[in-house]
Amino acid sequence: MATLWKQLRYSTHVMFHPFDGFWDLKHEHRGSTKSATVIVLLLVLNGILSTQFTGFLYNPDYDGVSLNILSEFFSTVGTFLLYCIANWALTTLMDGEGRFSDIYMVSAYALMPMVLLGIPLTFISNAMSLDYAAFYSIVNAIIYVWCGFLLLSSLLVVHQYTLGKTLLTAILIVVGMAIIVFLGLLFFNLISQLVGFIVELYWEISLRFF
Amino acid sequence: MRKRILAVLMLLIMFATMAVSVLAAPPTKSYYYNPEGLPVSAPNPYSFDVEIDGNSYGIGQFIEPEDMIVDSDNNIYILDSGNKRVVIFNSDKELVRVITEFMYKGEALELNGPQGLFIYEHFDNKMLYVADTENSRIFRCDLQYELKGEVAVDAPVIVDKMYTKPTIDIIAAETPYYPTKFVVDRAERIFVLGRTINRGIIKLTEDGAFDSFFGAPDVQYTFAEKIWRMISTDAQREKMLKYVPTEYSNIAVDTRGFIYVTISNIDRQKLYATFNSEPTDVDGRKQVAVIKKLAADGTDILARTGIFPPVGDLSVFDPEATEAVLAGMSSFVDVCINNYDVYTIIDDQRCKVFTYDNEGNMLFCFGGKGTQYGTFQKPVAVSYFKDNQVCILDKRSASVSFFQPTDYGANILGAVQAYSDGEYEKSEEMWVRVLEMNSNMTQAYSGVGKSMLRAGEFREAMQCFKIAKNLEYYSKALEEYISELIGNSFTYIFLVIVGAYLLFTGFKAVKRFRRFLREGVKKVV
Repeated sequence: MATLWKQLRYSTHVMFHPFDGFWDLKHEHRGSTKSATVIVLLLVLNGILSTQFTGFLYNPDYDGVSLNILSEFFSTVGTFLLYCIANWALTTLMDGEGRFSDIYMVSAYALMPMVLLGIPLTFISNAMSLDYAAFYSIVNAIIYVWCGFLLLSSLLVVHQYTLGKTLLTAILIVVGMAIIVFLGLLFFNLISQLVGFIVELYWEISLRFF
Repeated sequence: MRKRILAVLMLLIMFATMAVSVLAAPPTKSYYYNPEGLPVSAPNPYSFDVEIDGNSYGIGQFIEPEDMIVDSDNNIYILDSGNKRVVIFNSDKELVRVITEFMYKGEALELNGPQGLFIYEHFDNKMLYVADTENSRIFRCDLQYELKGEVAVDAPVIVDKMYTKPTIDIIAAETPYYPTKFVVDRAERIFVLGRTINRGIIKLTEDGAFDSFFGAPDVQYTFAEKIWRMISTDAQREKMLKYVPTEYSNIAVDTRGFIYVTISNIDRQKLYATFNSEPTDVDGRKQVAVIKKLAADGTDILARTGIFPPVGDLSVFDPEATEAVLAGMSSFVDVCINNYDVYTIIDDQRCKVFTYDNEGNMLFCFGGKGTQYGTFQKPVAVSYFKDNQVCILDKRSASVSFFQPTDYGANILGAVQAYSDGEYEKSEEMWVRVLEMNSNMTQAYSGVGKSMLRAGEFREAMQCFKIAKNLEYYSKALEEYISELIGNSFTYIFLVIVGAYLLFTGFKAVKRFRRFLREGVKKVV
């Protein structure tokens, strides 16, 4: 437990010293898959909290009851895993040095600003009038830019890429995610067609002969 | 036998009361747009009172009446264009006078397709202005003796001032001049809409000379259009002149001298896209305004702070359609403003009447297309009559319909008025009564919230604004609430901080002291 806490504490170091931090995460065993999973769960928590508890002024279209924790969970974890898988699949082909567990870990650590800034922002937004709208959107923008930067540097450090190759890989990862989603939908569609066909065949036969 | 007669009598009474209730029920249903932009049914804000036309006074049916105006004494003036006359009724809807003959310098004037009229009031004087459209002129006559009945009924009315076509140096001299609708301000300047002139409102001086164009609608180029214009030649640009500003369809003036204009031929697709976009996009909303309130310098100062801007019907299937009855954006043809800045607009697309408050929130709508009482075929003019009543001139059925506010409508109007008069408690009471009649009326929650905000009940006000999705006022209430919270509990917050500091330093001192006991003075210092 104490080691887990220590590993989680290390994420603040990673946030401010990404190159150093990601290197140590992998090679000095400052983080683990377990701590990364905790961070992913915190991300889910952040999603739930920001849907439910963001101030009315910054979330006026939410009715207060339609939150679905399960779908929030699956969409967050699913997107994260999708990213990791696309990342792994591409970097394996492109001479990346990171293993899947490494990718999983550093990607989770890279998203830590979302938790550490996002959750307080959610609660503070309840006390912010429209005068602070600029502040709210700037903090939001900082979160995204910071996470994006951390994701890029994690890619760079964990696979030992050059900057150019990192940027190229990042673009390819986005394309790869899209392809995976497309294939998944196609597969799902075909399977449902097939199942439908078999069910129909069964009904035809059973109505005709029995 | 007696019992049977009684029973028959009872039945008859029952039928009679039923018939009355059937008569009272209006032919169309009223509705209100909720914050999602969907229509929800609402009680009728106005009920049909009476319809008057020429036949009911024995003066012959009106023929295509074009305009109507009500003065401050509630006299009604109808411009009966087809019959080339002006008909005047008093506040009891009795016929006062039919003006058929206008004499100017000893000659009788013949009206030709007149489209507008206006009453300029100065103390007791009532000056009637008529736009004799096809003759390209506006003339003025003094009606003070006619209205008092001091002149023979069939005597011609003397025209004392004539405003012919002004020389406007920035448009070609051969451009025809057809004044349609106009208003006269307190300094007797005339603001004219010309049928063939699309550079804005023609502002004439008291003498009838051209002063300037006023409130010209901006031409809005999209980015693609701008680039296209940049790379095209001059000859091509000449042909592109079809990108002209939209023309105003009508003009009205409120009691404080602000001019309201309506626009009926706007880019419908743009309009639809804009009101569906972000509520904070004030500039975007201004660009496709279908009603404008013009300040003295011609800028649009109409407030559009509601969830949706004042555009009439929101739930339209095809925003581009112009013909079908059930499709297309509303097209506004006239507006009237009452003395607390609530304005009523008529739409000749679906013959609806919409009322908005001074911040651009829809209050209610009524009317509809049809030939029954309470519906219209082609409404052309609307006016307030005796404070809250509304009268609407229908060009095709050649009649004027009067509407009286129902309890529901009267409460809404009363609440808005009470708020503008500073009677916040009365306003809140009336809004609560509105909510009892129609809990879908989200604007009422805003109204209640505003009164609560004034009364200092910030938390309750916040809840009201949340229901009404009124972000602006929610923000105000939140600010007040937070500052009140901090103000009230400042002592405690201060004490907690100081206490925590003292505790912390005390703890440190104790630690140091124990260390001192343990290790002696040298290592501690």
